[in-house]
Order: sequence, then C-alpha cells, then structure tokens
Amino acid sequence: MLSFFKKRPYLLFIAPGFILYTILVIYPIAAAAVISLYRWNGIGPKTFVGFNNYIELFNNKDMVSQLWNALSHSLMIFILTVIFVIPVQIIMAYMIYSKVRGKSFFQVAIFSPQFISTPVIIFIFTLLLDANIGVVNKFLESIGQGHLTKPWLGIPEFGMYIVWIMISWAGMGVGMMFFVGAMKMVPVDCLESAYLDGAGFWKRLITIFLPQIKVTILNMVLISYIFGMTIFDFSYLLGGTSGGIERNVDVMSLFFYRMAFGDTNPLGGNISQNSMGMGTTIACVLFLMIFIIALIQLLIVYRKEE
Amino acid sequence: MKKFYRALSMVLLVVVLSVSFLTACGSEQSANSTEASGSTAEKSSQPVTLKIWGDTDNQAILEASFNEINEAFTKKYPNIKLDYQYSGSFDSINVALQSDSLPDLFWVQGNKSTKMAEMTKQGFLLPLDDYKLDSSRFPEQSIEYATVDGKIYCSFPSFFDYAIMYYNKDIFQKYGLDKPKNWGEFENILKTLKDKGETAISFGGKGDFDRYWLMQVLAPTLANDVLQNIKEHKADTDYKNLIDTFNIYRSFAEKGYLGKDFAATDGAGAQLAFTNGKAAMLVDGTWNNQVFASVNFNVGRFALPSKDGVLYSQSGPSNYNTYAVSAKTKYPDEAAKYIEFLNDKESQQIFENNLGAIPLVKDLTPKDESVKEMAEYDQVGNNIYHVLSGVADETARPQDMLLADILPKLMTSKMTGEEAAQKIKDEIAKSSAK
Amino acid sequence: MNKHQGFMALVIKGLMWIYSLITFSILIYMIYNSFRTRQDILSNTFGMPEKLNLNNFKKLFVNDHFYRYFLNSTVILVISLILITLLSSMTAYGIGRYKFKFRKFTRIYFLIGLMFPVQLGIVPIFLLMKSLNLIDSHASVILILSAGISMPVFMLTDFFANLPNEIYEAAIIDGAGEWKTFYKIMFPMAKPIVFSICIIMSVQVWNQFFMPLIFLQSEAYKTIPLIIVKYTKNLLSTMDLAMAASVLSTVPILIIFVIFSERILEGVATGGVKG
Repeated sequence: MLSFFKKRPYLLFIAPGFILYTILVIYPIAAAAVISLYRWNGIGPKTFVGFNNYIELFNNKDMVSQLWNALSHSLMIFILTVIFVIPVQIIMAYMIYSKVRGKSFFQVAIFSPQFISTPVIIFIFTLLLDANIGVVNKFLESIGQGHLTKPWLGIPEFGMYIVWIMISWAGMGVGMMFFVGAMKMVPVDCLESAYLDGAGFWKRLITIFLPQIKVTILNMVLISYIFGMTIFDFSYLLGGTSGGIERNVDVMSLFFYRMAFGDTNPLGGNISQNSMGMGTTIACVLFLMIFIIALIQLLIVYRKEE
Repeated sequence: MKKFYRALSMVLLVVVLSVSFLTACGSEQSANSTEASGSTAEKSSQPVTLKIWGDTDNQAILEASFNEINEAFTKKYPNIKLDYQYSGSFDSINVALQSDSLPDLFWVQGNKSTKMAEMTKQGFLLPLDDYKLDSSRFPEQSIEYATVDGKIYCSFPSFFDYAIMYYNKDIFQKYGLDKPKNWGEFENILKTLKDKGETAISFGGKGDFDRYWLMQVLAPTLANDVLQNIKEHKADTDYKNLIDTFNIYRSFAEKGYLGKDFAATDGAGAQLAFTNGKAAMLVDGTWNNQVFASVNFNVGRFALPSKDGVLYSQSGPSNYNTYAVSAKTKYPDEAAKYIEFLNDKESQQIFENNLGAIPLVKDLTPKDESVKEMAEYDQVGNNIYHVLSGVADETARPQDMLLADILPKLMTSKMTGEEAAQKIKDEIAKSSAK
Repeated sequence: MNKHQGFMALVIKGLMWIYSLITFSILIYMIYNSFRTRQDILSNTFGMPEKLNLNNFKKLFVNDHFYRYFLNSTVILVISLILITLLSSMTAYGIGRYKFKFRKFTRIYFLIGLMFPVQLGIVPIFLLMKSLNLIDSHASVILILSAGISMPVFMLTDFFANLPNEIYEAAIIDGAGEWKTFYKIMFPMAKPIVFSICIIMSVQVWNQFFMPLIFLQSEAYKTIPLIIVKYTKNLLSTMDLAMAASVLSTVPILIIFVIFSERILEGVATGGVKG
C-alpha cells in the first residue's frame, strides 16, 4: 500500500482536491444532466422521454433559430475578446510589470469594476449615459455639441457591442492580473540574455515574454471561450429574459435561463410543463460545445509533451 | 520519505479537521433547533417556533411592515414564536420543493401563476378549509386568488396593484391641462404636450416589462370586451377593439408622444426622466407610488378613462401578504393562526400605514391622499397578461408572444395592429386551454 | 530598466492614464452618489446636490447591522480562500509536476466545473448538505466554494509543470521529501501567479451570490452580496442604499487587492526562478 503511493506521489497531491471537487461539483452536474432525458416542470412528477428533448430542440424551428442567434452572439463576444481584449490586457500587464509610474493606480483602477455588482454598474451607466438625464449628454450639450447626444446605452444596432464593451470593461483586470503574474514567472536568465543582446523595450515583449507566456495566453483564450458561452448578467439586465428587442442581446446562458427559469416574473405567469427538461437539455448542449472545444485545445497545445 | 508522508498526512488532517469542524458547527446549531422543536411538539403549552419565508426580492419594501406585523402577532399569541426570514426567492423555493425542505409558511403568488396550483396538485400545500377562515371581508377576486379546485390554500390578498398614469402637475398647469375625463381628452393632452415640445409620456422601450406597462393600461381601457371574451374562451371574438389598441400603441411611438430615443431608454432611465421633470407623464405601477411621492414637484395620478369616460384599473391582487402553509408542517394549527392574522384587519392596517397600497377590502383607512387618488377608478378591467396566460398551454404562449415579439415590433413600426391581433388569435387557436 | 521605452510606450502610457482615469471617475461617481439622498438622485440626477450626508451609511449600519454581513462575508472569504489556494495548488502541482497516464483527462476533468450552470445542480448539493445538517451555516457555502477549483487548477498547472526540473531533483537528492519540496521550494517559486489567482478568486468568492442565497437562510448568516441585491432588486426605491452598500462592500476587498497585487510585483523575479 505504501509503496503504491510512493511510486505515485501525485495521487496524494491530487486526492484532497479531487475528492471535494468530485463530490460537490461533478456529482451534482451528473445528477442534473440526467434530467435532460425527462419531461419535467420542476415541481411535479418526471416522465422519462429518452432523447426526445434533444430531438425537439433541434427540430423545432423557433428553438433552432433562437439557439443560432444566441450562439452567434456568444461566439461574437468570444472572438471580439480574443482579438481586442487579450492583446490590450497583455500590453497593460507588460506596462505594470515594467513598473511604469502610476502602476498601483493603474492596477486598482483597471481592476476595480470587478468589485461592483452588475446591477449597480448598469445603474451607474444609466446615470452617466442615458439619453435624457445622462451626464455625458449633459456635458455634450453644455459645450455646444448637442447634436452629438445619443442614447449611448441602447443604440439598437449596437446592442451586442454594448454588452461586449461592458463585459470587457468589467473583466479587463482579471486577465491583466493573470498576465502580470505570468510575466513575473518568466525566468530571470531569459531576461538577462535579452539585455545582453540589447533588445529594446518592445522587442523584449515580443521575443521573450510572448513565447514564455504562450501557454497562459492559450489558456486565457479557452477561458474566454468558456466565459463567452456562460456570460449572463449583462444581457439579462440590459435586455430582460427575452434577450432584448428581437433578441439582439441574447446569449447562450440567457437562452438556457429563459427555458429553465423564464416563467418567474413579477406578474406571475405560467410554469411551462417541460421547463426543467428542456432547460437542462440546452445546458447539456452548451456543455458539449464547451467540452469538445476544450478537449481539442488541450490535445493540440499539449501534443508535444507526450 | 517518511517526512513526506508525515507532512502529507498533516495536510490531509488539516483539511479533514477543518471540514469536520465546520460540519460540527453546523450540525450543532441545527441539532439544537430540532431538539427545541421536538420537545415543543409534545407539550403544546411550550412555545412553538414557526419558520416563515418572506419574499426575498421585495425585502426592502416589505421589511418594515412585517417587523410590525410579526411583533403584533407574537403579542397576540405569546406561545408562537416566529422565525421570519426573507429566504423565499424563486430559486430557493424551487430547491426547497425538490428537496422536501419547505418552511412552515412561505409566500405564494396565488392564481397569478400556475405554480401554486402545481404545488397543490403535488400535495405540497395544506388546504386551509378546516380552519374556517373568515372570508366575509374580501371581494370575489381575493377568494378566487387563494382557491385551487374549490379549496383555499393561502391567505387572501387584501391589496391590489395596477399600472397607473403618473403626471407632473406643474407641467400640466403650465399648459392649462387637467386630468382627462375621457379618452378624447387624453388624446388632446398628448397632442398639446407634443406641440409644445414636451415629452408626453416617459417610456422605457428596452426591457420586456418596461415597454409593457403602457399596453397593460391601454388594453382594458380600449378593449376590455375583447379581453373578457378571450378570458371566457369565446370562439367568435371580434378583435376590432384590440386591433385599434395595438394601432394606438404603435401610433404613440410614431407620433412622438413617447419622446426621443424611447426604444433605447431603459426602465430606470424613463423613471428618472420623469422624476427630473423632463416628461409630463409616466406609466408605472401603483407599487412605486411612495417613490414618486418624494420628488420635488407635484405628482398626480389618474386611471386611464375610456371613450365614454369610465376610469379603468386592471385586476392584479398583490402577493405581498399572501402566504401558504406547507403540508408537512408540524404545527398546522399555529400556522393557520398566522394565516388568520394576515387575513385580519389589524395586520392589513399595519401594511397600509407602511406601504400605502390600494386596499381590496373596504374597511381600511388609506395611508394618505395619494392612495385615495389611486383608488379613484370606476371599473377593474382585465389584465391583458393574465388573460393571455390564462388561455396559454405548453405550445401556445400568447403572453410571451405579446411581451417579446409583438410589443417591440409595434413600438418600432415593424408590425401593424391587424397583424399583431392576428398573431394573438392564431396563437390562442393553437392552445388546448381555450 | 524603465528608460528608453520609446515613443510607443509613451502613447500607451497616455492611453492607460485616460482609461484608468475614466474607470476611476466612474468609481468616484458611485461613491459621490452614495452620499446623496434618494430624493436628490431622483429629481436632480445630474445637478449639484444641496448637501451631501452620511445618512445612507448610517441607515445601513443602524437598521441593517451591516457589520454582520461584513463579518459573515469575511469569514467565508478567508477560510474559502485558504482552502482554495491550498487545494488548487496541490492539485495543480500533482498534475503539472508528475507524468502519469490520465494526465490530460485529469486536466479536463477539473475544468468541467466551469461548463455547467450551477442552478441546475443545486438540488443534489442541497440534499447532501441537508443530510450533513449544514443548511443555514457558513460551512456549506465554504465547502461548496472551496470545491470550485476549476479555474485556479487550470491556470496553475502549467506553471508548476514549467518550473525547472533541476531544482526539484536537487531537493529530492538533498533528502527533502515530496511534500517538503512542494511546500518549501516549488510553491514559493510560484508565488506571483498564486497571488494573482488569490486576487481573482477572492473577488469571485466575495461577490458570490447564488450559493449564499440558497444555503444561508437566516438574516444573521447572510453575506454582503445578498444585502446589495436586497437594495438593487427595487432599485428605484432604494438606489441610495444600493450605492452605499456597494461602496461599503468595495472597500475591504480593495485593501486585499492592494496587498496582493503589490506582492505579485515584489515577487521572486530577483530571487529563485532560474532555469
């Protein structure tokens, strides 16, 4: 017994986390996933229907169009994040890593939106950007640029972009802190050789840091993908359960929420006979979409290892 | 290598210990409480503790009232202690239902949603008929609210809410306007305000419900007969008035009564525009009355008049004081006492004094003048959302269609009233609940 | 090393100043609003208020016993953060340091927790906690949050994997056991990234809303996000208190942030890590 663990010391390191995680995270997920095989309203008895929920989801025209719409918005968030946000986070992290003047201020300011709850963020943005009472429009009028005033928060064509900007603004600090930590992990001798070569400030970023934190960047891309698929608050608060006018801010998690819990509102309303069954089915489809991508990424990134 | 194992076992020990320590803490507490409740079951003279879940979402609004009500209750029944917590969110009640851990009493939405009916069907709720609740003070709709299949399952609603027009008296006075007495006058007001360059109605077009309130006000005023027919499942309903209503809703947007950029304004923005004196009127719930009472101009209220001058409110009993008893409660008699107390004038007057809600029962003293003003309606009209969800079923959901599809399209002139009414008609035809 | 960064760096620094100042002013705007009365925000939204006062904060402390929520949140934060850091770095070390058969599978297994909405899996956890008698106690929330190690494990694994092998081997040859090597040598080397994980996880734990909502039922056990939601649910009638509560919940976590973020930078780059 002892020699079994002696040969496999990793088991002892992994075991505590593994046990707690399996009981409190994996088991509930597995138990919930089974619900997708049932027809269930969340209160009454369940009826086993096999894969009917999945068949219905992909055959019902309305459901499919909602699914595609939500999926395209989620993917849009992800792609925009990878193209714009991650590079900005890396550059900001590099500046902070280089201890530019004001770095503490940068860190606090850029990270601070994380501390505020989403409804309050949105309310403050309303106070600032609303068409009638917003500070920004007031300011524009006072400097004689009244024709520029706009309902900034709700320009319909920009629906999803506004959601994305708010998400990025709120989440900017998270990735940045990761990258600062990652850069701090770059071995000193790598840097020393670069200094000896006389590489400039930006050249060091490109030739030393980027290759060294490549894996962190790829991991952040995957995490962004997962968050893009599971983001919920901002769309919900800006567009309600239905996902905005003509569902222009709908995202995957909101689609799931609408099916599973959408029947609860201040006016009451009906509980749908298959809300939990269909809701769980959508959650499972969402899960598979994330899982497969994660699997592919891990297989590609770590191919070299073995 | 020995050191390694010693160290590792230390770590595991710490984890296990801290977990079991925490576990012990938790179980000690609940062990105490079960002990306490166990012993009380035997000796009924000992105090009993009722666990009650209030409405989490409305805690800030209801807290003052329930503090007072619960105090009055324990004064009246010194042997019944109340453990009243605001843990009744939609989520936590769902979890409690599925895990068989409901508290003794919790708030319900009565017939406003099908949830309570579903709970009774599954035997989660205690029928209250044996306790001979006094219903003589309550109107028909209160009793309907609490009844499922002929049995009463919750305390009777004693207040109601509806969407009302709030108006800025100062702006009205400036142009010599007054509360409208009929629909024609209302249209004139809108037109005058528009011509003078004012925003007639502050309107948030972004949220599902923000854009809905105007429809809730318009529908019974202009098409109550159609709603009544739909409610009664009449097959050959003439939708003409509803078509007109939809077209009027659309025309409000087109004529600019709703102000600039209404489609991009959210609910809070619309409310703030009104409270800042930037708009003459606002459609909002009577539940927000106390908010508008605190702004620094004169706010008036009116129910919207129909063409022949009938002022319509919309039906909508308030679920603020409607509570149901769990079927598994150990103390059904004591729980029924609490229900009785909620049905009692004493608790309702406490509510009124704190909230200033519109009473459904006649014998309460209104909190102030504004409550009287809100109660100045001639007829309780149908609530379009409730009417449509009353004829919905699994596949056909006209109420969702109205909120998420029809109203945004009407508002942005992408649909006509005829098309909208046809859509509702088709959807209802699909439903098996008709 | 800060000199000769060139023109580009200057531009970027300028942009960062602008970005940070905008963000900061939004924060200041929130703080400013927390000193206003509701009537003032309602009828005079962008104007200058007649007076600022501390009434909102007073209300929170006197009527709501805000310190109680604060204490609850702090207890949950401290214990969960310690457990998360410990569990996730051990797990990540185990996966990253050693080569074994199901390594890739283990990595993705630990990532699954991020892929499924928690609302759906809540009933089984609730039943489990009920059988342990942990409903309405901090222990339930702490345990559940501590089990959420998906992101830290995922992010930490590569760093432990990339730490120089020679140091590990030298330590083992010196007679330090596996655990001591981890605790005394490898873990300190990963400090910068562990600190950034701590920051990110502490914000997540501090803002956690759903688990406390379900598991903490008595007012005496509730946490700060729950009291904030109490005031944001009816924003129009309680916007003043919502602002004040947000400000109060921000301050402590901001302090944690400042402490940790400084430590990331002072970290080890001058010391241990040499490949």
